[in-house]
Amino acid sequence: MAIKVEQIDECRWRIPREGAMRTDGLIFASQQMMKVLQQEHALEQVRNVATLPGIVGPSLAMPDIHWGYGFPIGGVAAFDAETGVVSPGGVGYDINCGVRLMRSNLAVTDVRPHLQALADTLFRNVPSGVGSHRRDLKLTLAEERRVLQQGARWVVERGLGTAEDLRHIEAGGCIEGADPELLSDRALERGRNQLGTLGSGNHFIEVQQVEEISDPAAAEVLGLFPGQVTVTIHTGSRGLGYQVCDDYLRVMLRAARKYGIALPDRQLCCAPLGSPEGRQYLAAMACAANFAFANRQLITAWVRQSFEQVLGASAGALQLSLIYDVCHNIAKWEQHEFEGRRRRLCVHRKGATRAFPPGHPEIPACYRQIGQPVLIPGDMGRYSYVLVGTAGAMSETFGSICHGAGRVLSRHAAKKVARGRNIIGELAARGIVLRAAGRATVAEEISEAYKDVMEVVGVVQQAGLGRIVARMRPLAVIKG
Amino acid sequence: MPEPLRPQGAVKGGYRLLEHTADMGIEAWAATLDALFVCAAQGLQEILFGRPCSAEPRQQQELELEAGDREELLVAWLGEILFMVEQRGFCPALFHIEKIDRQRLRGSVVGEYQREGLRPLREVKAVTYHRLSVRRQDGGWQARIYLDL
Repeated sequence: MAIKVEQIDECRWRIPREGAMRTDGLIFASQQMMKVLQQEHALEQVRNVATLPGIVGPSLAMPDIHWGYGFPIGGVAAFDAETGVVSPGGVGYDINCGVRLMRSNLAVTDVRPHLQALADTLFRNVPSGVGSHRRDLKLTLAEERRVLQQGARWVVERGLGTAEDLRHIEAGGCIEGADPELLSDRALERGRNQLGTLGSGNHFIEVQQVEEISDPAAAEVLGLFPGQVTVTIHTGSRGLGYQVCDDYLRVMLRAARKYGIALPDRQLCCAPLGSPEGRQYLAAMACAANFAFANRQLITAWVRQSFEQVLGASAGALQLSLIYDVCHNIAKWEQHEFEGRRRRLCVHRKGATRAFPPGHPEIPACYRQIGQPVLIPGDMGRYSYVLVGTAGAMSETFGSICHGAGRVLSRHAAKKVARGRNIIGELAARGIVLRAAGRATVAEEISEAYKDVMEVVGVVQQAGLGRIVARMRPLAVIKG
Repeated sequence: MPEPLRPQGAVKGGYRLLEHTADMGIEAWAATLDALFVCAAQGLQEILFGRPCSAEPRQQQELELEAGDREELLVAWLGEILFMVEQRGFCPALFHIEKIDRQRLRGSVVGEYQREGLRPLREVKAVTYHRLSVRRQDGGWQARIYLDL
């Protein structure tokens, strides 16, 4: 069914309120992106989100929008504390899937001769692929519960990271209100052997070089310089998060019937924020979010260990420090100005990143003058970006921007494009070393499967939602 | 749409994999509801292990499930198979539904534990409720279901 879309300006599109919609849809996209979007179901999903009770402002979609399940990927929606709802489908199965970026004092010339060894060592030290885990990391149930309550701090307290790391993670690496009692035995079981694993599909570790600086002043604050080696980690809450989402979708299907909430798609099942079901989901979601923070912190420790093993210098000497860590699948309580009034809202970001402006108190003090760092990975063959949040995002998108490039090809279509090609060889010819665990991963994750992230962040910057600081190019990619 | 009808041996029905930008779906059809659930499970088996899957029917896992309606029962059924694969390291070869109604099913999955050469191709995170349907069509049954990859 065709969705009525009105162009507002070069990068804004409105789905006008009609039928069961309680508000407009607002999509940030170029003309070219919109042509592709009109051929899939993502716009219908923006419209569906607009029907949910208590939505404040428009149902938003970032330029990396694509067809998801329930919410579109790239979807943002804020809900009123009194009249609004919380929906596990607005967060997704991979709760607190996110990205962290580390810097080093290494130049690309220091690392280039060791790239193969570095890729092999990272691939060995960080378990990746389906069903992988570190045999030397066994959690008791009591330890797992502490991970769920403490997040990244649990890992740091075991000597695997620094207090400085914690200051450079969204929410300090721990979402408050986590209650492990609300998790099923199955969720706990899945978490116990999956902590410290990268996973599969689009999750990765990437050794990169800073290719271009667009904002020298902000880059200096972030400690970035041209030719510098950086590392990006992209993963989330693994099977524990998937199980929490699955368990609470069942709860929310019953809750939606109980509270008389009409659902255009069952995956949008939800409960009022103030209801027992809503509160319980948020407390369970916080557990999974904390698990994801701990997961990325553990992997960071093994990334540092891998550099030490290959380069023969300590992580301290290599200045392998954390720039920032962002969530891109989460629902969070935040304070926002809306229509002249300060309001407490539950902001759902499903494949979207928080991007708070300069001066915001939730940004680490060292970055407060430039705005929150936002980490936008592209695909494994091209580039990734660092941006900073702006006042524009705060006033128009509840302080949110995109989370990545966004897929354009289905996995089947990507495999067809990759058929007969030596993808690993093609990347090697461009100086990129690839190690992948999954048999299907390489073909399904080819560059052509994704939008050009340069166009995505271009729309973000043009719309005034974020400012580009730096672009990084991959040197070595570890895929699950 | 990628593939044509795949007849499933003794079961009267089939399935095809559905395109989705980020994920994958299954459309299944069969003469009876129990055969429909078997065909949908075979679709999941293909997504996880490819075709043909060389798993041998060595061990049997019994299942009893309850859900709010037929659609939710299909999510629960495929979700259990996914859990067996991901968490228990099982590789299904055959599916059997002994008894099924609108809200309950009793059935089994026969297969063997994963080994070298018999590992999942990819991670499937979950079975979703997005655009979910189970309905009667042309005197038989048809289902559509999407997975999060």
